[in-house]
This record gives sequence, C-alpha cells and structure tokens, in this order.
Amino acid sequence: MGVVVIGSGIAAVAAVQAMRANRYEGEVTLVTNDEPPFYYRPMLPSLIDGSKTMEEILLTVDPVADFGAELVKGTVQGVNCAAKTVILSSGDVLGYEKLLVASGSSPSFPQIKGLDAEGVFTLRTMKDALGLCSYLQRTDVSKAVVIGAGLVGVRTAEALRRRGLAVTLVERLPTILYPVVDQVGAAIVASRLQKAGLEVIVGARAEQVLCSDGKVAGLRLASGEIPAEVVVVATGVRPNVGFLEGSGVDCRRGILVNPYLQTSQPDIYAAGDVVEYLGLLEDEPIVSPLWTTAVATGKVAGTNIAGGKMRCEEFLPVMSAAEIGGLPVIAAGLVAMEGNGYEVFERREGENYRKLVFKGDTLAGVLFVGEVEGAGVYVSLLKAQKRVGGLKRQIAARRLTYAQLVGSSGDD
Amino acid sequence: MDQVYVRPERCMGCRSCEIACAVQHSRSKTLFGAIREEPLPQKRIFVEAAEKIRMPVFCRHCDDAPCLAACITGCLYRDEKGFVRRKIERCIGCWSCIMACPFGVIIRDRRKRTAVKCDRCHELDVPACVAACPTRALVLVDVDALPKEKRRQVVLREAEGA
Amino acid sequence: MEQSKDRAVMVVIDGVKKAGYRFPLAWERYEAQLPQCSFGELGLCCRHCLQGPCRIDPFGDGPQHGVCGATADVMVARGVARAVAAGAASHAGHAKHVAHTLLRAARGEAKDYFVKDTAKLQAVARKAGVATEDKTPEAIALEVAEKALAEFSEREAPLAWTLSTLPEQRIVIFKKLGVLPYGVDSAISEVMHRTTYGVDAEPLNILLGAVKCAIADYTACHIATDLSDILFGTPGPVSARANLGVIKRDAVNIALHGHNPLLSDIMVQVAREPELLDRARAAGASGGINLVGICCTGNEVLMRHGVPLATSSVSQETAILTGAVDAMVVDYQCVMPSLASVAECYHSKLITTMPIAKIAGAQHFQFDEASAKETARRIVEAAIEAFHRRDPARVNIPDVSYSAVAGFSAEAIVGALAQVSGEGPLKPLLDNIVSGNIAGVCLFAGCNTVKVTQDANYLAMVRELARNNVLILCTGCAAGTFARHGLMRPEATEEYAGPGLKGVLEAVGEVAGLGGPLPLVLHLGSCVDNSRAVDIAVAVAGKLGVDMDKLPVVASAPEPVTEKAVAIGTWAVALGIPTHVGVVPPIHGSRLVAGTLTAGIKELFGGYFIAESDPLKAAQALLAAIKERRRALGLAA
Repeated sequence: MGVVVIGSGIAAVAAVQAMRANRYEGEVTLVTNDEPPFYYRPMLPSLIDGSKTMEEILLTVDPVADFGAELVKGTVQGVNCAAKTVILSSGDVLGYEKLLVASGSSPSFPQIKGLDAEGVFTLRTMKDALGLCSYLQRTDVSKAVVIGAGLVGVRTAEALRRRGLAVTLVERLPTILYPVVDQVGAAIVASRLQKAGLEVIVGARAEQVLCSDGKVAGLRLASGEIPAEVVVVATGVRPNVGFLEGSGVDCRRGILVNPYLQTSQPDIYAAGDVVEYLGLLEDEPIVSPLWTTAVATGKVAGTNIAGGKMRCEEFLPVMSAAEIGGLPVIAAGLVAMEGNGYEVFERREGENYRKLVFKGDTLAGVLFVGEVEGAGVYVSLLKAQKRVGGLKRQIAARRLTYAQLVGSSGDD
Repeated sequence: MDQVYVRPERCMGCRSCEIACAVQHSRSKTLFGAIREEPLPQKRIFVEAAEKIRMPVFCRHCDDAPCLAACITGCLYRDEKGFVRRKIERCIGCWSCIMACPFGVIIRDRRKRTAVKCDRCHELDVPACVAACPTRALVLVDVDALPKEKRRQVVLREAEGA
Repeated sequence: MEQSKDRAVMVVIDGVKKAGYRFPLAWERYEAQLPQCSFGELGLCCRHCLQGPCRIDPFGDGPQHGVCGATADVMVARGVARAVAAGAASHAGHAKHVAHTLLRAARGEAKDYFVKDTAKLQAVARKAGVATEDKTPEAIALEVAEKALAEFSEREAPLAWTLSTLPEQRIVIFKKLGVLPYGVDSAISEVMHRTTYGVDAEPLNILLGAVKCAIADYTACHIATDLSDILFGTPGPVSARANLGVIKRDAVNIALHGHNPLLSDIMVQVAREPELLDRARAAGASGGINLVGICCTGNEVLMRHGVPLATSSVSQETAILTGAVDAMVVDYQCVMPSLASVAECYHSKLITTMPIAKIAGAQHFQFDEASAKETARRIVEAAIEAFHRRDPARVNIPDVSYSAVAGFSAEAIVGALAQVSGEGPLKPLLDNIVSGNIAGVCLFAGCNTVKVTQDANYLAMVRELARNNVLILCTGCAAGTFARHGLMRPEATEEYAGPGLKGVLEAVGEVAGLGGPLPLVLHLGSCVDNSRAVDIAVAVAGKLGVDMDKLPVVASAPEPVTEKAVAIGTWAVALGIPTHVGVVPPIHGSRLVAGTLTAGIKELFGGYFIAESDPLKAAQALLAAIKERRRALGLAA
C-alpha cells in the first residue's frame, strides 16, 4: 500500500524528497512509462547539439537509491477512487493509501496533415530526444523546421543550428517567445537568432507537413513551402489527465486542487504540469508547466501527503530563464501586458532591455534581456506582491538591490 | 551551524569584503596577484546601499534555497556542511538561479557562461569576507548557540524584505 | 610575525608582557588595523574633492571611474604625487627651520647658535654663489641663509642648490623633461594644485610633476644638511654605542627623538653643564645626565657628539618601556602620537617642543632659537624632576648595545681616502671600483615598519650585498638598524665583507688611523642627509666623466614608512639610481603607473624602482643592476 506517485518527472521526485524530509517512512511507488525515468527535462536540447551526453543530464538525485522508492514501469489507464487503486494498461492494479498525480504533460499538436510522416518529432522526453538524435545521425538531414517559437521551440532550433543544420523557425503569432518576452524583447532576441543563421518566420500558420515516401520533405505555409527533412513540433503542452476521466477527480484543463494540492478526492494530490490552480495575477485558475512550479508543487504535495500542512503559492503564468542567441533572458509574470490598468517602465540600451509592468502598487511583470544580474530581487518582489508605493519610479530607474528592500522597510 | 551574520549598522561601505572575496576566488589568492590575473576573479558579495542602510549582501545558503530548486542542470547542490555550491561542469548558463535568488547575489561568468555564487569559502574556517571586515559588520555566528530571543531577531532580520 | 630582529626590543616587549602590563604598541595597533583597506593598498581611492570618496574596482565589475571621471591611472598617479609633495614639505620645513636659525644666528638674534664650521660655510657659499672675500663668517652666513631661504619661494630661475650640486648632464635631462623646480615650496604647491579637483588628468604628466617635486625635495634635503653642518659642524668618524642598553639605570636619561639638530644639539651642550649635572647627582642619579638618541635626531647627535643611539623608528615606544627614560624630548617627524599614552603609564615625561608638532597628553616646552639653551635647561630640569618619580622596580634595561663608528660625511670619506692616495682623494675608490674589489655602492635609507619584522630586510640584504663586495652606505633609521646590530663595527667588516671589499675597508681604515678596518656600513647621517650620498656619487661620476645613471650605485629602502621615503626614493630614481622598496607602495591599482615607475621611467632618467618584498630577491635584483652597469662601463661584472 503506501503512497503511489504517477509520474517520474521533477514534481514526482520533489514530492518523494519532501515526503522523506517530513519523516514519511512508508512505501512509495513511482509509476512511469518514461525511460530512463529520472532526468533534467529542460536539458534535452543539450543532447541534440551534443553539448551533453545522456548520462550528464540524468537527475543527480535518485528516488530509488536515495529515498527507497519503488519504481513500476507502466502506463496508467485509470484510477478507482473508491477502491483506492491505480489500474495500469498491463492490467496490473496498485493499491494506494494516498495517491499523487504528477503525470506531467504531453505535446499538443496543431491540426495539420502529415504529422505521421517519418521525420516528425517532438521534444518532450528523453526518448523523443534520443530518437531525433539518431534520426539526424542516420538519415541525410540538412534542413530542419521547428514549428512553434516558444522556449522549447527556440532552444531546439538553436540546438539544431549548432549541430549544423539549416533551421527555419515558424511561429503562428506575430512575435517569438510569447508570452515570455514582449515585442521589443522578441525583436532583440530574434535578431540574435538570425545572426546565428536561423531563419525566423513569424505570423505564419503551418498548413501541412509535406511528405515524400512517407518521409518529411518540408512544411507548407500559406506563404509558400519550406523544404526540410525533419520537422520538430513545439507548439505547447497539455496536462496528462485523460486517464482520470470518470474517476471522480475533478478536472478542467488540469486537475483542480485546493491550496494544499488536494484534488476533489481527499486522498489524491496533484503536482506539476497537471495542476490547475489559482493564478497570482489572474482571476482564473491556470496551469503552469514550469520547472519551478513542478518543484514547488511537488514539495507542497509531498509535505502534505506526509502529514504536513503546507500551502501552495499561487501560480505564475511565466517564470523563465534562458540564454537565447547568446543573450540571457529572465521573465516572470505578465510580461507582454500593456494598457488596461498596467503601468509599464521600459529601459533599453542596445541589446540590454528591461521592462517592469506594474499593476497599481505591485509588480505584475518583469523582463530582463542581456544584463540579468539582480533580476531575482524583482522576481521575489513580484512573487510577494509587495506594495512598493511611491518607490515605483525609483525601482524602475535603477537596479533594485536587496539592501533597498531592507532599507525601505523602515528597519535599520 | 555557523552562519555569516550582517550587522548593517556597522557597515562602512568600504567594500573590503568584496575585494577579499574576489581575491579568495582568484588563482593566486593574493591581492597583488589577483589584480593581474586574466580573467579577473569575480566577487560574490556585494556592498549595497539604500537611503537608510548599507550592507554587504551575499548568499544566505537558504534552508529552502530557491536557486537550488530552480536549477535545471543539477549544478547547484547542498554540500555536507549545508552550503549551496556548484558542480561547475554541469552549469550551462541558463540563469534560472539568477531568476530565483531573492537577494540578487548570483552573477554570471561572462566568458565561461556559467553562474557564479558564494561557496561560503568552504575550505576555510572563516570566510574571506568575514575575515576582511574591519568593523566586524560581518561576523560568523553559531546560530544554534544563540539564545532563543536573539535567534528570533536574527531570523526576523534575515527575513526582512525577502 | 615576530615584532623585531632586535634582541633588545624583544626583551623589553617580553618584559612588559611578563609584568602583565598591556600597552598596545605599534605592532598590536597594526594587528588591530588588519585587514587594511585594499583600495588604499592599491592606491584606488581618492578623497581629493567633496564628491568623494571615490574608489575604483580593481576587478572590473564595479566602477572604473571616480565621480569626476578620474581613472585608476589618474588616481594612483595623483596619490604618488601627493605622497612626494608631503615628503618634500617635511624636508622643506626642516630645511627652512635650519636656514632661519642660521639667519638669526648671523644677525646675532640667536645667541646660542654660531657658525661652527667655517670651512663648510666657505664651501657652501661657493656653491651658492656667495662671495666670501673679506667677509666675516657671520656676513657670509647671512647671505648663505638668505640664498637658502630664497630657494623655497618661486624663483625666476631653477634652484641654485639643484644646479650647483648635480652633474650638468642631469640638469639637461631635467630641463628637457620640464622637471627642474623653480622653488621648493612652489613645487610642492604645484603638485597640490595639479592633483586637486579637475586639473592634471594625464597620469604620466602627473608623475613628471611628482618627479619635479622630488627634485625639490632633494634640494631641500641638501640645504638642510649644508646649513646644519655650518651651525653644528660637519661630522667626522666618531665612536659611540647603540641599542637600548645605552640607557643607564643610574643616570637621568633623556631621549632625543625626531629629526632636527636645532634643539637636540643644544640639549647636548646643556646636559654637560656642571650645574645641571650636580642637580642630577643630587637627585640620586650618580651617573649624571645620559642623553640617548632615537630616530634621526639620534643620528644628528650621534654623528656630531657621539651621543649613544637607543633605538629607532618603529621601536621608539620601547625606549619608554625600559622604565628608565625620564624624559623623551621630541621635535617633529616620525614621532608616534602613541608615545604620550605609553609615557603616561610610566614616570616618563613626553616633551614636545615645536609649535607645529604638539601631542595631546605631552608636556609642551615651546622652543625658540632666541632662548634655546634656556628651554633646553628647563627640559633637563623637568627630566631630573621626573627621575625622582622613577620606579626602580619597573626598570628593565636590556643588556644589549654595540659599539658603532658613525659620522662618515662626504667630507669625512673624502678626507679618509685622501690619506690613501696623493693623486686626488677619489682615486682609491675609483681604482677599487674599476678593479672590482668594490663591485658597486648601495645606499640603505628609510625606516622600520610594522609590515616587516623590524630590521629583518636590512640584515638579510646587507649581508648578501657585502658578501658580494658592495660598499654599503646608510642614513636615517637604516643607520639606526645597522648600529643597533653591531654592523658599524670593524668586526662586522671582518665577518661579513667579501674579500675585495674587506681589503679596501682594511686599507683605508689603517691609513686613516682608525686602528682597524672601516666599519662594514658607513654611517652618512640622518635621513635628510641622503644628499651626502649624492655628493659622493656626483664626485665619482665627475671623476669618471659619466652621468650618474651610469654608476654602479643603487639604493634601497627595505622597510619604508614615510612619505619622505617616497620623495627620497623618487629623486633617487630621477638621479639615475635603481632604487629598491621593500614594502609595496600603493601603486598597483594602475598597471600604467606601476609599470612606469618600475620600468618605463628608466628610459627617461636611467633610474627605476624595484618593488620586492623578499629581501634576498631584492639583493639579487640590486646586484644584477650593479652588474648591468659595470658591464655598460666596460668593467668586469
């Protein structure tokens, strides 16, 4: 019996770690179909350009070795809340006292033809990445198209370019990296990408993956065709909640939870990409498929499963850091927001760009491109929704330091 | 556990801690050697000033370290003494830790494109910054040995503004 | 780190510690200062305007400019220039004080002073362009003093003392580079002007300004030496003892500390007056009145009167810790303010004498040349009074002192050499340099510092150089060091001199009637007397027909402290002499300035700084410089 965890991503691992840290000593069983089970998912692009090997991106903590968890390979087909069991596609059934759903998310695909052709990839799992790598190795591939210029798409496109391929990045929206980066930031970053030899096409809807002999031959846009031997689809993800249908666990886009990450079934918790929870800056609950969210929710869920009482912080729609085209980018909150009660302070010097979005007296969005040092102070201010009052302009004008936060609190 | 504790009212803003930090993280470990090194060593402590206060700001090696949680590469880890340190070969310069740090004390090595942070001079008994502070604004305090009320004040101060 | 290599100093420190007294001495105060500010160590802070203080981050990620835009190079250069100016101001003050006294003596307004050395007066008058025929010494002295005083304000022409004491080739170089001063004080004030807010921001130009000021400093030093010799006599070889053991348990001990001979020389005269001696004996001091010297005042009275030297520089406080110093009489420069609080813990009286140098907690006896002896007598009386209160139980005089032969002024050296050869006094020196018996000459100057175990650098270096047949000259607290360690004895020559050098020192000593070899280290005088070494070098250069930067002559300040040392070092370099400093000066914040002072400046002046804190490496560097010059002269290296 004990605790069953569906998933082996970082939310699942963080949860197990928290359970043990909170002195839960019972059985923990992780069910996953991911192989290998534990790795740093955001590092997958590093496999494509060869800067890291598979071994180098394996997780440095091992729930099995370090925390005595049991690993069960398999795909979950359903959950029986009444019987408190998890049913695997193999037919096996696992009983649980408490269940944590940390099943992550899967790529969402555009509604276009040709996605079944050989040479179409996503980059969600280690398996995906290794498959893409071996395809690039054994096939005569020189041109690639990446559909979707979000963070994953851009980082994948860069990795392919570094590998020596001619790469075209296609984005449906008018700017890349939305909503992580606003229009100005996107232009700075896009120009870097172009300098690195990437072709960036924005405002273009992919219409069809072109095939020849069942293999990718290119991508058709409304404006014309792009020849390519490989297509990577990076148009976002959806929570993996399909298996919960009819289980009695309330879901919308993701699984609905209370602040302790309990689902509508008191013995079932959720963590990571599958959670739909209060947004810090929005009125509606949101899903937040971010590494930091996964770690945080895993910790909260694990703590509470172990008998603790920990509240989950509200979700942020954006909380990302990356180096793109050689430029550091850090973004949090509602970065691309304009007007409508938002007050925006922008400062740009060459490729250094800083944007602060205030709603009333609190920070709602933070974007740093180029010089990112100290960004965390702003991000923490945003997360705390601390009222800054008249200091807004000062904060906008200079680099905010921790000392200023202490100094302005009136405590010497 | 020994913690580096700041007494802002004693800070003269002399930046001796910054210099000592850079020297400690140089190859030669001497001032006159360090200033000639190529590349120059980087400090990991920052004397910051605000209207009513000036103080060195540096890594607190937080119990619930946001940088550690944000690291997507396995570079940051907590060592056996409890210090949050880097396995530098794992860092890819994603800057997630910079985003996560509420103190703003993680910086970039622009050549190597890796994150740079305080390692609490783990190989020294007394960190270089503490040893360098002429007014003892930086002190090494055994937090566990503090009386409860004092400890509460320390914790309050630490939490202030974070 | 051990405080001192001087056994006597350690005995006193240990004694105090054992007795349970706690006096923070210079070394402990230094410990308390640690760590010292790295910006200061690198010369990267500037307080020259009220928008500062500004600092430049040597590691590049902080500010690279001061508020005004000054770069690291500008800040460091300005710092060097101001240090030189401060040093020059000290020597200028000293020199003017002597000049005014000479003037008043010549006018009959200072009855206790008179022209003691008419030969020196004649020689100085000649150089200063003062006619001497049919004039009384007083008349000549009046003109010489006026001439000297005129050197300080801004003149229409370069300084007479600069032009008349240096080789023509040097003057040509100085003119070309625009570094010939037109007034000592004006050169100092020019540095202050050009380093103030928004004036000179070209680092190399600032350094040239510093050199100009340093040459003014040299000139001031020379004037001070010349006029002191006129008033108190040109020193000749004299025997005395040195180190704390010279303090006497049974005497009223008066320590003379500071720099100027004006009061101290009078003190020596007064302390021999029978009436005062009687009073001392009546007070229970069967040994009478015992004057001892500290620092350069100590050198002044040592070389002219054989007054024993107690200690020097960084160990000045230890004299009081013997518990037997009844009064310490100070004038100015290198007098630690801490003496007042140390004296307070004993019966000792700290007596200040100069209107510009009072110390809180000291007793002040205003010194005026018009009533010099009177003041001196009152001071002796105060010391006798203090003797009454001496606590014999606290007396701890280390049984350490060495004999020393001091007082080798240029005139004395030339005089001794003249007896060796009939063909001009410099002939034997030149011959021995040519033959290689003397590889070269090294002048040790400067102070003792808390940053180096007292005397350690001097002792390591002098042994190495002497072993390699380098003739050693010394001044100031360098001289104090060598005297305290017995290196101014003929025995030291036997022990440490290389065979060539030993032969020469033996031969000259024999002929000069010293009854043994010359001491290993020749005592030229106080720190202001570095000009005496220049006189010798200039004479040798003249005889050889070369400029000074060709001579196998080097200088070293292995344990420097004061801004005066910076000024002296800078003029030594400007005179073409490779000059070692054993404590890192605050120049390394600028690669340009550090590089210029240690290398680039050689192109301009021939001299350059050697910054090396390891004494053996420093000695090797100086030997290499000597060899390089010998080779260039076509001499066997």
